[in-house]
Amino acid sequence: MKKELKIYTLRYFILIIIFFSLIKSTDFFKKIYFLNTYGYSARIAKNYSFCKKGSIPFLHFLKKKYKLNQKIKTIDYDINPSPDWVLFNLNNDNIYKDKLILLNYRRQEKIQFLKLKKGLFVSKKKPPHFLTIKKAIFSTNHNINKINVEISNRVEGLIEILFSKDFIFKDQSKEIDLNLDLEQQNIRLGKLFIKISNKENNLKNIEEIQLIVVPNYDLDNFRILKKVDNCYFLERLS
Amino acid sequence: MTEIFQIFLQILVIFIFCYFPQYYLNFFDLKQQSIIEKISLGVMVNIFILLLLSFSNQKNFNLVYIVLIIIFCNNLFFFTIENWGFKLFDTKLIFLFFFILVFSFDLANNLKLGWDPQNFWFFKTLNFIQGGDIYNLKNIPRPDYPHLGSFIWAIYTKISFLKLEYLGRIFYIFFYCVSIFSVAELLKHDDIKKILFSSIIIILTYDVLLFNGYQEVLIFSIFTLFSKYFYLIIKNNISKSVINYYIIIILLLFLCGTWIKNEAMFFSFTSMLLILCLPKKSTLFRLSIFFSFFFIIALRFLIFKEIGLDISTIHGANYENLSLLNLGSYLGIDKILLIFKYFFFGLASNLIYIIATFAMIFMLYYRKNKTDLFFYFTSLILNFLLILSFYIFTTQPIEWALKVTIERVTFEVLGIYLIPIIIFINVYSKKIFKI
Repeated sequence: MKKELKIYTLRYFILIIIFFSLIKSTDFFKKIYFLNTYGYSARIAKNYSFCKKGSIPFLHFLKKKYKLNQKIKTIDYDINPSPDWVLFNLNNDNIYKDKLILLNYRRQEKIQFLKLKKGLFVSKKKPPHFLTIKKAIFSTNHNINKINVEISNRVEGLIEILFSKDFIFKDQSKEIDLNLDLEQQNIRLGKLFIKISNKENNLKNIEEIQLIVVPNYDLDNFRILKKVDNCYFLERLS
Repeated sequence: MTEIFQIFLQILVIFIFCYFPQYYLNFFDLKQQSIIEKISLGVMVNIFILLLLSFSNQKNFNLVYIVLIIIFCNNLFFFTIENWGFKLFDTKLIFLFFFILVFSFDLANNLKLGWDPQNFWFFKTLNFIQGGDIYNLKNIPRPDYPHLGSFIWAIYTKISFLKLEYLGRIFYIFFYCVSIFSVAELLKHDDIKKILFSSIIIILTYDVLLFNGYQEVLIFSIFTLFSKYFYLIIKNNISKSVINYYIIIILLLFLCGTWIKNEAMFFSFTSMLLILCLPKKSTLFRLSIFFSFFFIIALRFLIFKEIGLDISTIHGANYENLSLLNLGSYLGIDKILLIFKYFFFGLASNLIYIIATFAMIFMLYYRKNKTDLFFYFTSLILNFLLILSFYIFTTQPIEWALKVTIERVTFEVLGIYLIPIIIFINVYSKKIFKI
């Protein structure tokens, strides 16, 4: 009898421990407090970064402030899930043609390509989406006359050539204009490579290549309605 | 305070919706079932009814409301008369409610949706919330993905007072907890040990990210329940009518699964093979199972076609240009080794797999009666091969696909292997479970 009572006490004791450990591990009371203190929108803002990683609170803010009830073209310059669900409206299929939302916008960037071996360079980081590669700058002390430039995206052994063209350098310049629009290219995965070659075979002195990339949308063509960090709500200038 | 009250109320409403009255079970000659048993059956029936309702015209939402009100009133009536008084103080029920409540508060503070839910699952939910119907799904991203999980999410959001989207996802938490508590009912022990077992499984598997809009947790719960009813059939000490009752439940689970995620079709297929291999069953039984399953899959494709979706695009982006003629070209030793590497990490992250595998190997070696274990071991091998094939034949970058999906895919059928652990505890409990 005494033993049975002891066993039962131990079992209930274990259940009580589970009960309290669950409360502790999930911060139960803290969460009730937050739930009571912060409203739904405030909690959304706490869960997502305001203007990073999808910028969902920024879109919620715009939707509320400007009473947006149609779709707006939204461009995220970083790789994030689509934020279009915030402004999704099944009953209104129209789109604000004069408005644009840019998230994580950057004006101009330099992307460095490091030398892997003679004539082959790999990017240190991924260029953002919706950008145009304006030009390539070669770091070398020697003159280059003619060159073939091939830009490719390599994903787990699969090579997709994005661009391949011959260039002639003028006036001892070390820059070439590329004007390669990346908006249509799917380069979300993998790494960018640049392969250069020429007949003179004098490329071993090129130590580094820099790509100058610019966004496809120029802010000068828009009126800024709202700006928070790198997130913009824009209206097209007529 | 309003939101806290709403969460509390939402859980109670889901409880009532998912209650299955004993009155109806008596028609199947089933003796008095535990309240957990009735709720686990009720969840499945509820999902099935919602599947049927999802095919109705959502622009006329009144029909859905009327059906839901009838179900609610019916269940509330039986719930009250069958459980009035001290039955409501059932320890398991209290703990189940407590778990759901704790996780719901956790969810209410972690509102961030996952990658895939933001890209397509939530669009389907919004479609139903904003009055769209199944025909409108062709205008929503990833029309080749089924809609039932999103529909459930939408309905439970719509019937809540505050209409906040996460309130719909509380149903996912409910189903997850109920399926684990339901499996624990197979333990030949008292309620405290069942709660203890459920708590340990929940602690080992719970992560708030399971409920960030991904559908895998629903598939997990479906296959956990499948595993339970399959085990009850294997035990073979039940009447024919009860076996038929369990088979109906299993087929309904398969049906609902195929409307939640595409992979569920394949996992249902391997599970159906196990049923076909059951000993001492007539050819008629096997044929009826096979054709019922075939009917479920065919029906899904027919409805997809009717909705206006091109059925050839199902998971098309993941398996471009895949045909029987070029299957050999997908095989490569490097690829298989890479898959094994990630597969190992995927399994290691789900501790239940490791425990269940050890339990199965131990019992296959030492236990005399191995019939039930044989089925679960075969299921483990078949499902592993199936998951491997998902990756071998994918045309997506394989390492990336493995990195982002392997844990989720292995989690989907994890619940099946809770049963070997239960068998282990039932067999060896006197030695290991002295408290």
